[in-house]
Amino acid sequence: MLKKTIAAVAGICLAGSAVFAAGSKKSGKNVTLNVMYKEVTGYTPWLEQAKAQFEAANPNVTVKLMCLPSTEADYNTKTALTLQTDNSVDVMVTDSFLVASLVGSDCLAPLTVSNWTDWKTQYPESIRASQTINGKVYAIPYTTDTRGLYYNAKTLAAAGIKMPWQPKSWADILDAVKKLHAAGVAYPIWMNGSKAQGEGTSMQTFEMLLSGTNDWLYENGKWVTKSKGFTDSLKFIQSLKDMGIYSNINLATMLDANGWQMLPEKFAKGSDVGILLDGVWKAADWINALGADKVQDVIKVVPMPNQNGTGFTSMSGGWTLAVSKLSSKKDVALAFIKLAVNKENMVFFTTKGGDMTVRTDVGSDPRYVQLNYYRSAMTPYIGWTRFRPAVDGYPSVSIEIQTAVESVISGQKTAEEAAAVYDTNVRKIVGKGNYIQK
Amino acid sequence: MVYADQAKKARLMILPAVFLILLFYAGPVLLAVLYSFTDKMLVGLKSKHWSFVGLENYIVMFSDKDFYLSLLNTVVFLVFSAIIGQQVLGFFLAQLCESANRSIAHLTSLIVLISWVTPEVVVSFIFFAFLNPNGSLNNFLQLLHLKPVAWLYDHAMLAVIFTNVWRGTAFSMLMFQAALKSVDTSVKEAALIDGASPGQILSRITLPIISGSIMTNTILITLQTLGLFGLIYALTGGGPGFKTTTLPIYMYDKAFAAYQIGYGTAMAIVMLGLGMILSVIYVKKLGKDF
Repeated sequence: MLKKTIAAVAGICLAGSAVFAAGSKKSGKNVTLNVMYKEVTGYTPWLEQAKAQFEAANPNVTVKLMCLPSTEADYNTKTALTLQTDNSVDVMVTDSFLVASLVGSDCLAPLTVSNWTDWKTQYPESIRASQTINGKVYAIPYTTDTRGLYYNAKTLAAAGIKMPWQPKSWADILDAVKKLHAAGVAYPIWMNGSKAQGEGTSMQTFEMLLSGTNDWLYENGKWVTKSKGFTDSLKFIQSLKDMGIYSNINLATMLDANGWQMLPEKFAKGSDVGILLDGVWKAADWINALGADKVQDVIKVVPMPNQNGTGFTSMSGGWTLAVSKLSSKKDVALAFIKLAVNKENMVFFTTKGGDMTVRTDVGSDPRYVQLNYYRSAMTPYIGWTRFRPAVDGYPSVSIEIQTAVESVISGQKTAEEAAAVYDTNVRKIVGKGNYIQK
Repeated sequence: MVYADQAKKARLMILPAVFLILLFYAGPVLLAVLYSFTDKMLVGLKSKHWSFVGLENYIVMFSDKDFYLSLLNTVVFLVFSAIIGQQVLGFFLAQLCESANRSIAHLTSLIVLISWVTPEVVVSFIFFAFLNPNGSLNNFLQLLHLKPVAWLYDHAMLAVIFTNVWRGTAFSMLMFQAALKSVDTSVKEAALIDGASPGQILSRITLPIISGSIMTNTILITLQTLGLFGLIYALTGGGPGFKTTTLPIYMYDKAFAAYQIGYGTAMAIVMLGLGMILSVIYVKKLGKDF
């Protein structure tokens, strides 16, 4: 009996000590600030620099950087889950389109920007408005972007396309694709097209097409679940599939979430890719591949034309730094963010990657202007750019877009079939009274 | 009196385990059932302010063409990789090990077991390295001057079936090794004397004797394979398009990628029901046959 009692007590003590040992993190004055971000070219050096500066200015703070090498789709899921449950993450790099939904689920802390001069003087009104929800600011954008058509001038010229190539309509693009295919180019046009590529498929591919039609995703407070523009955009993608321009292996590579890593070889240095529909941040890859003095002879960029020659279009997104509602050091988190996005750190950031800045002072800094020709060339696209609907529900609708695009480009559904599935699914997602069909 | 006292102590001792099971298992299952009747989302307003929508998720699911497609994929995957692939191969290996040299039998078991203990994601990576357009299989084919094939694109279902067979055969093999040991050799010898062929011994004696194990094994690997997620997700992501999207992957896509928790949990409940139905069918059918 005694032996049993001792054994029981010992067992309880062992279990108890394990529980208590696990929980003692907040000892003394030392504060650990956890910053979570997705691995993208340039992020780690930028955040390491901010970390060093912040720790030097705040000796009792240790900044821990958590880099997640994940696909875009997975990172957004991770963001949603982390901000709901993980109280160890303080600062989270968040895709700007997710911010409205995260605010809806009460996952982000409102940020005090009223005493921050930079916010009023260096951030354009449209940018400030895009992150202000119900009068409060929930995330600080540090990069925006535009999208256009890159092309390899040598590859296009060799296919008999007149230089400089300046498509004015979708027909012009398809015409160039035909010529490139006839010339034996492996990827006449390279674009995102799979669910795994996440927002890359929605924004760089589909919304670049849809925004060039007379219809949009969200009009007058309601989701447009059926429209000619939607079906036409899918038909454009279907015509690429029908032309048979991709072999199965090449299509698989193009649709792979990590396929973009092949582009410096295939597009910049090689002649496997003719046209690339993608964003401004890619330019850093071409500059790195070919060198700043030679790259402009090979890679050119032009704006994406509207469907029927009525002008040009682009899409802008961007990434933000946000503070988790579950964080116990919100003030420290905001202080870190303000430091990370100050002028010098933003200039540094834009030298390490190809991202476009939102800050006015950085945008006119000669270091920024001279470093990246493409970035300067694509900045005017902001004049005709569109933003994603910053409403609750966009993330789910975006998945339906990606599903539709993937089913068409892989030949599993026709444009009409995929559009019908989108219509049915989105009506379910957004609910009665929140959609219109045109 | 002694027994009542011991029974009381036993109940007290079991209490912590019951508590843990209720907390980490029954609790989430009940929550899942609850959420399946709501429109809860992972992000947005509806993640905190969701409402009950009755059977709407289920109604939507049963009129969703993609749901039936994923169900078909699941059945194909289950039948070919688990019920046929793993069981037949496992049984075959167990038979061979039984009649082979002891050390060879041990070595074979060990090698087959390595695939079982390897984590799912690592197995997927191995086969990705093997089957991707620039992987070892295509390099090998090119050595033989054959055209490379986009295995994970053109033959995605075949690829995941093959990977799962490779991965899970060990389990069936172990089950059948134990079962075969319980078959009395004297029965087999008597049959041999009576002039039975090896085929007849297998079908009329061995299989009926181990029918209980076959049924248990079938139920276990069915339930395991029904819920298999990581292996397929890491290898093909459910793609290309919908070609390898089984029910668990479709459920993940809806619940975590499209943020529709309500719809995703409804699918999970349907999967649970499917598992239960299949188990009942197995018990009834295999119980009768032998």
